[in-house]
Amino acid sequence: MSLAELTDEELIKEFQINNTLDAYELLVKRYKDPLMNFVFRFVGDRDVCTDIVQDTMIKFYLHKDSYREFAKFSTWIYTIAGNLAKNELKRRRRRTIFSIDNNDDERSIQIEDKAFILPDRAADSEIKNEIIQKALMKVRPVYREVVILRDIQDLSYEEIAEITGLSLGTVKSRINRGRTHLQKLLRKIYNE
Amino acid sequence: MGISNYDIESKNSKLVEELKSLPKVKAPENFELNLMTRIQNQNFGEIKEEKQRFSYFKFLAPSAVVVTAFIVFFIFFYPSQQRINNFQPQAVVSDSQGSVASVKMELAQNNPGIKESVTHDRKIVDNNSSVPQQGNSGIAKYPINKSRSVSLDDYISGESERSSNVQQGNVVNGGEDVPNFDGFFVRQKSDKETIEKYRSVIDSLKKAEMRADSIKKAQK
Repeated sequence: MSLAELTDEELIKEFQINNTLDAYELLVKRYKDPLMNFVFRFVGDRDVCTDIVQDTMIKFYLHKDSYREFAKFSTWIYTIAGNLAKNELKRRRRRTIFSIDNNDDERSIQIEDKAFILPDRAADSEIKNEIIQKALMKVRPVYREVVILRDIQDLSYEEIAEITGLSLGTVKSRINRGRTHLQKLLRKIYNE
Repeated sequence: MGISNYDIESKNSKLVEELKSLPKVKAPENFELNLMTRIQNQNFGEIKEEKQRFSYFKFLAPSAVVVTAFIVFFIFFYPSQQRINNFQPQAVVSDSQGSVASVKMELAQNNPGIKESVTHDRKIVDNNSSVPQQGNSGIAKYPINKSRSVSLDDYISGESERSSNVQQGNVVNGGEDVPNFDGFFVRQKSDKETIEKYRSVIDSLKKAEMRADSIKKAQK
């Protein structure tokens, strides 16, 4: 049986026991894009997002033994990425507080790089996506995280609860609040 | 009680659709290459240092907060209350008003004219419930070093003047087990008889000198 046919959990087990670097590389290949998408939507900065995902993969490499079999690999790696992204937001907030000339709007909301947008995308949908991202960045991080995990990453409520360490009820209510807030913001932006 | 999944999804279905339709961001081409290079070179950057830095913050920040809270509490809240010095021996609770009353009673015995007012004062003192009660013996225990002290009653009545004046000061100390506190000296009244005696001696000496001088002048 080739490594490519193994599940995530089997691959990490292989990496933990035999220190097989190919298994690690395969997991990186599987998760680099979903994590990039998640972190970008959460942080809103492409360069920072690449660094965070790199750090996530290095953390995974260094602390591979901290993964326990009973958890899903996907939730474990999302938790690492989410924590690093939150740290980045905290750091950024601290920097904003201490900086004398802060132009918050300009710095915190960086619109998606044109190079990563499919060329066949219509101009209006491009603007729409930018507006959604801009609105998403204005939602409080606690709500933003769960909305992204549910609506953009398509994860189940149970998986989100495991990633965030919250109860199922809290996850649902946060998703609901996050969506309502996002809806309000989008309505406001469209009216402007 | 719970929020059903159907309710959540259907409520903002349009928004959910829009979010789902957002383009997926992909990792750059050289992502894996950079990652493997970092791993091969053991270039883990901040990730390895993170643990050490975190531990400093973890222990210093809460302790700093606690210390600051204590300082703020003692500076702003504590002065309004009475400060208790643990190193200072606790003074024995004494009936100060009672002792004043006893002095007044003694004065009244010597001067019958002021007896009425004193007895009136006494009554007020007795009726005052805030005055601390004395023990069964009725005598308050004072922290006074007997070897170097003088009774105030004797002092006021003048009897202490007759005692030896070897001790220049009388000391009230803070407790039995505590070293003597050299303070609160009571000034002794000067002895008029002795002064008069020495004055007359000095005067006679001066007169004798003057006489001797006048005799010398006459001889010249």
